[in-house]
Amino acid sequence: MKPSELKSQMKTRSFQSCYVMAGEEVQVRDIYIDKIVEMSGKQRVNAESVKDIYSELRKKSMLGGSKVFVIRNDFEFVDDDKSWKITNDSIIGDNMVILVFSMLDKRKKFYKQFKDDICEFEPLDDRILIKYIKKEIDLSEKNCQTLIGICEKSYARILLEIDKMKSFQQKIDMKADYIFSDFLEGGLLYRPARDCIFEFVDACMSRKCKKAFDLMQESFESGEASLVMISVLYNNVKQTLQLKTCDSKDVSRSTGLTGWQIKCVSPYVSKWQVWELLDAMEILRKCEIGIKTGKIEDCMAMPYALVNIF
Amino acid sequence: MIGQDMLLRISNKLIEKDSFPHILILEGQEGSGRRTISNEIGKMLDSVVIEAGVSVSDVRSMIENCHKMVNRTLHIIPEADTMSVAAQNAMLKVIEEPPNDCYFILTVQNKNALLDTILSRSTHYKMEAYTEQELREYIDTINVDDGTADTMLMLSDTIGQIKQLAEIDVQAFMNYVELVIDNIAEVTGANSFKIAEKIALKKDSDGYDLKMFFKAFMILCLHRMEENKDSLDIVKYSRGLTITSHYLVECGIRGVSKPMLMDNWILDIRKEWMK
Repeated sequence: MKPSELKSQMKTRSFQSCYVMAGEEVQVRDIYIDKIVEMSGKQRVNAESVKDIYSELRKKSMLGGSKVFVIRNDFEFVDDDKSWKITNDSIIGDNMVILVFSMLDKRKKFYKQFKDDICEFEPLDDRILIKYIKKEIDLSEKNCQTLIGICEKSYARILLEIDKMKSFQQKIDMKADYIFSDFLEGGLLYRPARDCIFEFVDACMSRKCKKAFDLMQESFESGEASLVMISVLYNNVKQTLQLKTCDSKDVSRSTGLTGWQIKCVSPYVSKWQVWELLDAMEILRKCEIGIKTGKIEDCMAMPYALVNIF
Repeated sequence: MIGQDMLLRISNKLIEKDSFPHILILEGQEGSGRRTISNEIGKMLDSVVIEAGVSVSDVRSMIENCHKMVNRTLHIIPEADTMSVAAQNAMLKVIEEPPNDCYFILTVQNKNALLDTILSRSTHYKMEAYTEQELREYIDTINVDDGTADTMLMLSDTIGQIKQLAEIDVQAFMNYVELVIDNIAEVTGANSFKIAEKIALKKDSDGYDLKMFFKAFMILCLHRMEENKDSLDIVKYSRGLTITSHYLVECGIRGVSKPMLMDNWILDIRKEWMK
């Protein structure tokens, strides 16, 4: 079911007894849920699982007043195919069940069976997002595009960032675009930490000092352990050394490296001297032992290694 | 049970006086007989012997069970120095108030890895070093020729290490180490890393034990020093011995990366021997 079809049902108030909602666009999805509850005029009940509300579904209240049961991420229900039909048949009267999932595995039987009925809220189109952003704050189209990129098309995150800028604008009377530039430069727009360990290693091996430090910080924020970073960086340094010191035509046989490994480290060979690679290996090893013996603090080991390597 | 006579005598006396410590820490290197002697103590205590794990959940179920036990029980926690802080904290309650008929033996390689709160509430005992006589006694029970027996004696400090050597072709191992000594400084840099292919650098991987390899290398360096008393090569082998001894110590650090250790050892030896 597309959101547009759901919208039509809402307009005509011809609601189903059960909805399944999923998709990345959480804000819009939650708006639809709130609207359905409001328009149906029923009491909203949030529940942990279908099992919890099973008996409630079969009740017809003497006092009237049906309920809308909103259940989030009941993956046990998704895996239990016997309970799907039973649950649907159990919904009596005007009760309604809305199953909400942050993520649905498309390989599972549940998705395949109810694919046409599941209402998936995909990230909104850029044009629509720009329209919504301009309704809230007067940003140029270019800045809107940048904001959409930073917030990874998430309407909820966009609204939060706009809220920040509007609060700032209330205190300091400045054009929205200037505020946006200041926020961008000052790192005030939230960017979740991502898994960037391989980018980090690439930055180190390419001798991009500032980028390496920034990515190191981001890796820490995403929960990466120093030992893992040291280990991956060490392997790249060693492979670069092996490639650099190999004078045989049959590189793979001589070094024991695979073709893929050779391809990955080849760009780094010209950027390092042999003695630098040897030093780097020793520093990384000492950091590793330092962490394990408690001589170096985990949070200090990687910065210490980078400073000495560069 | 070979060796550890003193500990067995002391344990016996304490058990007779009904004053055997409820919490005992047995410190010793791998293969030094900590598990064996723990089982012996279990027999002397006439108790049920249970081996526990080191995770938090294992410790918690051990504590839960020890309160339900009717018979005298000895819980052995092998490699207790690998326990996380959370697991050690979980043990504190039972260490402070052990049930009457419950005994605990924690075997460790390094007792300083345990919390001070555990150390202060337990009795410690360090495993005695095996004498040459005791090691020979054990070697005599396994069928090896004299040459191999002598090599095993040179390389081993504990019964466990002898058992490890008994599983491999010792002569082939020593030949391999000789090959490394002769060629490590001769081959190209890229090729030199291939030395590590025959060493077991990861858990459950095939190959020679790294500690054993370093020990064998040191012994052969010593022999070469004796053979080259009148030449400058004595310096070369002396440096090789010193470098390898540092790496042997680092080998004993819990959780150390053996591949990194091996790589850097190769580089250091080459750096020194190619001067």
